[in-house]
Amino acid sequence: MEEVVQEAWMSFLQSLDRFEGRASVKTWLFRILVNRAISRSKRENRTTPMSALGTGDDGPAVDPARFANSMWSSPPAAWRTNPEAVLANAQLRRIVEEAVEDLPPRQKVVITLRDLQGWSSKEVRNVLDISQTNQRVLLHRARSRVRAVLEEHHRDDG
Amino acid sequence: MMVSGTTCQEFTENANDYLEGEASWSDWARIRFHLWICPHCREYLEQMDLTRLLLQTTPPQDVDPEVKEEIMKRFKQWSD
Repeated sequence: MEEVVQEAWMSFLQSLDRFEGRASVKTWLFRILVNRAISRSKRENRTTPMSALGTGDDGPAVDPARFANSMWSSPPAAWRTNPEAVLANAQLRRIVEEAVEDLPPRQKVVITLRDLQGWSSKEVRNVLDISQTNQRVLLHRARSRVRAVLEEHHRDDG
Repeated sequence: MMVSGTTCQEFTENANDYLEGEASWSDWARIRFHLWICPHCREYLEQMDLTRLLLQTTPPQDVDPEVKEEIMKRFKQWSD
C-alpha cells in the first residue's frame, strides 16, 4: 500500500510541470513548501509555525558598511569567470542551493516559486495571498542575499 | 555618485526591480543615468543578473525524507 502511494506521488511530482494554472495543485504545493520551511526552522530551534514565516525579511541588500555617503567605498569585485563558466559551475549551483535553504522562510518560498519553479509574479501573489509590493520586496531581498553569498565565494576564491 | 538623487546604495535596493522591468518610469530613467556613470553599479547589476540566471536554471530540490513523510500523509488525506 505504501509503495502504491509512493509511486502515485512520484508520478504526480513528475507531471507537475503539466499542471498549468491549476490553483488547487499550486496551493497544495505551496503548503508543502511552507511545511518544509517550518520543519526546518523547528529543527534549528527557532521560533515555531506561522510566526516563523513573518520574521527575518528586513535588512539592506548590501552591507551599509560598504558605502560612504551612499557611494561604494568597498565596491563589488568583478567575478572573474564569464557567464557561461558561471552557469556550468556545479560548485556555484550548490552554493546557490544552500543560500536559498538559509533564507528566511517567506523569502525562501517566494524565490523557490519564482525562480526555481518558474512561476509568474501573479501566480505567486495569488497563491501566497500577498500584495505586489510584498512579492517584489521578498524577491528582491532573497536574490540580493544569494548574490551576496556568491560574492563571498568569489572573494574567498580569488 | 550622487546624480539626480540616485546613489549607489539606493541603486542596490532597486536593482532587482530594474531587472524585472518593475521599476517606475522615473526610477528607470534615474537608474539608467546612474548606470551610465557608475561602473561599480554596472558590475553589481551584472552579478544580480547572473544570480537570477543561476537560480532560474537550478532544478527544484528533492525533498528530504522527513518532509516526504509529511507529504505522503497529506497525499493520503488528499486522495480520500
